[in-house]
Amino acid sequence: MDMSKYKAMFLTEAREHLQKMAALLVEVERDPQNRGGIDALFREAHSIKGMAASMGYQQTADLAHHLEDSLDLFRQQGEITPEAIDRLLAGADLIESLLADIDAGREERNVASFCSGEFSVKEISELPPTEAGSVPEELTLQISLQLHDKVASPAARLLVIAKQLTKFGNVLSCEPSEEQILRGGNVRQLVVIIQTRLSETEIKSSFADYSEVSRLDIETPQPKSEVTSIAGGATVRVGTDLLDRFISLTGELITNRYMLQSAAGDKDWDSLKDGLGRLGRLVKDLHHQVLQVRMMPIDTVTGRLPRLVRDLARRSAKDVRLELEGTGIELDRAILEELADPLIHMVRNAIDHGIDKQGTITVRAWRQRDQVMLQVADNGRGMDPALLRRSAVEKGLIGPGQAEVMRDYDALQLVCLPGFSTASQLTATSGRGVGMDVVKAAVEKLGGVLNIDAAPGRGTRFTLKLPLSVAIIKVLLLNVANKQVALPITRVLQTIEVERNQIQASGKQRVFSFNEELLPLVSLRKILALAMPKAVERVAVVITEVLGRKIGLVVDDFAGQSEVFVQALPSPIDRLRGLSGGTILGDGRIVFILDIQGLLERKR
Amino acid sequence: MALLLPFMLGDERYGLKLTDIQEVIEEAVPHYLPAAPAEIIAAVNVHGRILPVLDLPLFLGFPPANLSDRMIVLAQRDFPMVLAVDQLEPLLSVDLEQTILTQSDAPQDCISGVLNWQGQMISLLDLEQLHKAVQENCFVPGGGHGSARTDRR
Repeated sequence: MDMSKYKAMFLTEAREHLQKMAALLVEVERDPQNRGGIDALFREAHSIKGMAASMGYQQTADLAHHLEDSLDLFRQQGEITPEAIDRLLAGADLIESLLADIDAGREERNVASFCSGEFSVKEISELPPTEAGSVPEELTLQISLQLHDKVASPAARLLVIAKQLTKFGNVLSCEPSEEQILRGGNVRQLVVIIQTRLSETEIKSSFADYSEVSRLDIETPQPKSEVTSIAGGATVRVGTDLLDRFISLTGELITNRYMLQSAAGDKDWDSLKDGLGRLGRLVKDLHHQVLQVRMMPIDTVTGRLPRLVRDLARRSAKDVRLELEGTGIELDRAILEELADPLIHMVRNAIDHGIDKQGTITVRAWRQRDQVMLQVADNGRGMDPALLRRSAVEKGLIGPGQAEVMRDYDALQLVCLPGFSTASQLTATSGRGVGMDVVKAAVEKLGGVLNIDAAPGRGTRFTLKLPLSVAIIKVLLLNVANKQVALPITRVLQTIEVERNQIQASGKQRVFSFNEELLPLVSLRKILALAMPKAVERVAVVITEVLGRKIGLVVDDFAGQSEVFVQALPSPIDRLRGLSGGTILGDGRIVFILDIQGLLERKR
Repeated sequence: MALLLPFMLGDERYGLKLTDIQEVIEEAVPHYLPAAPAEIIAAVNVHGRILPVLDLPLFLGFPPANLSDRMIVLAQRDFPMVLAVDQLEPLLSVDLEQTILTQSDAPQDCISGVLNWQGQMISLLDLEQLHKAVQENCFVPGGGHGSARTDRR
């Protein structure tokens, strides 16, 4: 069975369950008798076990099973011990490492020693006698069987077999499930993953009496060490309501197509115009819906904070509460990915340098028109602009004159200078300033703004003003006269190299043959009024379309493709014809995105 | 009293109030800005924002300048512009009320007044006028790049 295409989905889901587990554990730690919390923890562990087992990730399944067992015990006791929380968190960390193994296509690390470890002397005495030590001896087997074609009421037979299998051991997964079998229909196949002490031969022999079974395969599902990685990597889960909207939109587009076809056939220009108008609206709607698919709630990045805060607070012997607000607000996934690290930096800073002994960190998100505000606030000791100024001067980051005239707002921004830190002593996890330049760079790369608001003794607030979705487009970078510009990849039909002798003159216009079509050659240097180059043997040409007509755009050479965040240009350069935006590349360089049509129209 | 940042355009001394300035970029790295009028010579990355650079000597009709790589980022929200000038000078603390000699009535000069500071003449740059002049002369719809330069060559 080829599981590789499900691997990405499994990893995404398992990580989500893990994150929920970590958050729940932190919650339960504060309130050890939280029944609902313990129940929820049990369900998370159970889900991971089932998923891992059905994928054949034995160690992950074993470990999740082990955690599930101990949680079941606490569920019965109605209380969870602080030591157990630590051990459960350690278990969650170990699952995380296992997922990393799976992700990298490595063999899963062995978890038997962790699983045979004791929860604590008190609990172990209460553990059912069969549990400890026996787990490693069990084998996980995948049993696939097929019924003969002629068997009457196959569903009923399968159900009997499925029931029988549960007597052999612990059924981790059953495909189709019992409910699915009960719904009836022509089901003739059953795949069961089972944890059992029986050997393959024992199982096979016990099936000898089942004449309706035509084929029986038993194998040990081994973690596959395939190196295949799914192109593109990330998977997205889409709500069914959104899918329904796609389907209904597709339906409308099909209707629209027929309408346009018949209007064109009848030469009915009014209907054609109506139809085109409708097509425009449908395409716009489709674009909007597709962007929706990219939206994810902020808790996909704040989900790991409770655990982080707990661990950091404990390490620094501080009592820190974390409050999360508005984490259901959605942002483009590309923005969220960029935010994960900055968020951790800010929370770490708050614990290390903001909060003295006891305090609260609030991570809050809210919408403000078409922007999302994300704030990390602490009620700690705050920052003193005067101190920041002095410190920056001492470090030689700014001159004394500069410091004197610097407004408080700007002084607070000094913490974002690389190499700036107000902490007299840096901790292992962070130094205020060490990460803030990274935070600022990340926010600005997204076209956002970082505001810092602090006063001595009144806490610190970092507020990120973020665009709801960024225009991320793929561009082709072009070199022309030692300068770089970009073209949206959607505007590029093809890139080719044309030999000098393939270029002909047609009046004043130079043309060349492309797919048996004569295309005019237009020099980008000429359009941009740059110095013309010396004659070369072959020229790099981008085939693009201007006013529905193909042209060959001559450039010096291609500098590769890149995915970029497009920034809207500020006034007045937003009025320049021929530019559709600008972007800042990873190395800080600014590259403008050309609108060839606009450039050519400008020339006329 | 107000703080004034003096700078040179050709051999004339100009000044901007510090409150009009967001910051001075010490070593500005100019990037190519295509399709721009001649006076808008580049774009710079100011904390992740893309801002255009105005060649102020060129725009105001001074002879070709040896531009400094220290550039002035204006604080105006509606005029996000970086000014390239010949040379920046140390900040001055001046009493604007006392030192203004003339109120200019020629708006195309982009000067709001001239002040005398210890015998030196400093022309105060009028950003409102400059903004208007840039809009009118560099960004006319249709793209004509005329200039309102009063020729000082």
